[in-house]
Amino acid sequence: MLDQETADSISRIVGTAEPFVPPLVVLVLSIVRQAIEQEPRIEAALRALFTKQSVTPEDFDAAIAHIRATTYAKLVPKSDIPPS
Amino acid sequence: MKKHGSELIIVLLSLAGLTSYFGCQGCKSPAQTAYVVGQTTTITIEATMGLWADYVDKHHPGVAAENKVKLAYEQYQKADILLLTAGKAMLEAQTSSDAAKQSSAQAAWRQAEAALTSSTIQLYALLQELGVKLP
Repeated sequence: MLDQETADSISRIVGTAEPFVPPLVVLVLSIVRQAIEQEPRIEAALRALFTKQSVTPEDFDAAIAHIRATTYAKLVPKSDIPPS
Repeated sequence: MKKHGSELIIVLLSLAGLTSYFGCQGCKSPAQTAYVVGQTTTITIEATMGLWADYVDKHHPGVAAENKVKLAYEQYQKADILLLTAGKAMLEAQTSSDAAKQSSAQAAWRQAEAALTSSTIQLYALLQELGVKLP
């Protein structure tokens, strides 16, 4: 189970991001709780994303470079597709 | 791997909706909204692909099935890159205060957002069809 401290921290993150839409916050929070319950990396990534104050062109470039570099072969290392 | 495929997709769509809402309310800039949506999608899809990697390792569904998923994943990649490219263009238009550029960038963003949603749903549906257990 997701511990209370983590749940509270996610609540704070989502709440900080948008305090004036409580019903949506409650909905998203409940879903996020389920999703990160067994995958702490998701929490960390979302935390970084929602606490980011501003974006720069370099942020976009880095995100695009990451996507390009994350090939199917990297994600599925035991693939049966022969290397090209 | 212990992830919740369907919940992840719902998270993605919910966060996309939420961040779009933020953008509409002026709480974040449209460019920042684009960045958050793009990154949230990246996180979600990579987590979901982890489920597929486990499935391949255990069940070896075959090259044909894998090629379908690879193609769907590559379509998602293109869509996410297009969305982030549109977001970067919105950021640049915003800093230049060029209304025409802003309008053009926002139109590109809307198209990219639709393509990203579609490619994400297709990938998820394909994984389910191929037998990946997504709760």
